[in-house]
Amino acid sequence: MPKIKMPRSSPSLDMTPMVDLAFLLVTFFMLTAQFRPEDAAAVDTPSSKSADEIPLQGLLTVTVDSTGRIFWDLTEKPVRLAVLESMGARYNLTFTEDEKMRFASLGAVGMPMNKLKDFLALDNSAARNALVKENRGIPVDSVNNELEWWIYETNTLYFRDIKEKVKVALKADGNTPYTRVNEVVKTFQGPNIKINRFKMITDLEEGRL
Amino acid sequence: MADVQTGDGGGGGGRHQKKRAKKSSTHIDMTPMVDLAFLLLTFFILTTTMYKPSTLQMTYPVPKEKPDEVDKPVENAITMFLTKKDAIFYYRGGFEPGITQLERTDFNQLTKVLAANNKDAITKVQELDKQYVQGKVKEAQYDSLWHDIVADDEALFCIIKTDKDARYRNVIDIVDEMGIHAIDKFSVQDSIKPDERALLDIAKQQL
Repeated sequence: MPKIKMPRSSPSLDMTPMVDLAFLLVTFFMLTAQFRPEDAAAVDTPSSKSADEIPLQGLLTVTVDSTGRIFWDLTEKPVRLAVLESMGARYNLTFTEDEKMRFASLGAVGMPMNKLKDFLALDNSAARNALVKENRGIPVDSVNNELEWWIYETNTLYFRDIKEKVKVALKADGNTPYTRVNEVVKTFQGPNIKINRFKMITDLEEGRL
Repeated sequence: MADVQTGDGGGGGGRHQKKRAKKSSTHIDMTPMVDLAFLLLTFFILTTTMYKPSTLQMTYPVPKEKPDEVDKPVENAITMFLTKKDAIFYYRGGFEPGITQLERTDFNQLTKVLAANNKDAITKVQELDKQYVQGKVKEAQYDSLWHDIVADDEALFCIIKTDKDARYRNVIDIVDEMGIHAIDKFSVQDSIKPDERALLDIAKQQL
């Protein structure tokens, strides 16, 4: 019987396309992934069945963390700076270029106006977070409702610069007492702002119904 | 090796040594590289979390000019009080001092309560959905038909009142339930009338 001759081909195969593919995928994932902006406060939003997506642009977010601190955030950088300037004018503060740059690059800001300059003078995030912890965020008391002016200026300046109405979203921690959230809602509805429709940011709840 | 020449001053003629590049294979073993690439790929896929918040559209009632304006009693209304420990107290219809009793429920049983009270609208919406799936109702008509059902005068009207102990989560959950149970007419308020407050304070003692 003749011996069956196995074809003597090399057992190693060309891995190049596979490497190409793998690195292509790695590159794709790395480039398309967006870093989640550093949150000033950890907020655990409640979940809801609503699947409406969050708008990526023209969004004014008011964040309330579980201890009731209130933060302001806006997506558009040029408008952020304009808001900072007119808030400064309102409270007799002038900001240096450095402070403005820092303000533009930060995410949510939650400082009373009299502490804002100290806050913007700090250049490392750990020190900033420590300062945030010491304060109660943007005041909303009826005597000194700074949040009202933050929103008012944002509304006005956004409309002036972009010619569109800014969308307002409320992002609150699920464990926040509702009374605190209600103060923000009351501010929205106040005589200067008059926002009765807004979005509440929630986590998408899956596997229900 | 050919390139090492020591102490040989002479011509060294005759044996001319050509420098020749080593003929090695151009193939490199790519396996470790593939390993690495896929390791990175797996790492990134596993460590990234999808950040996908959604939003819940809320419409608050426009603040009344005169806060003392009396709400007209609504028969098809249900008033719910959100309070501490995620408990809910509710009563049906208008408030009648001395007669109205608060009933207790929680977020697990809320579905049953709402489904029982809003049976008509839910059945109609389910029927509409069925017709939509069968193609009897066009997509363009769906929204207006749906709106007719939920905005009907007979449909349940839900008033949500928040006590000071309520958490934000409770409010979102209950608003979410409104959507699930085809209740379009609801409002979130924080004003609890003195009569209601008295009842609620008694009811809260059993918590």
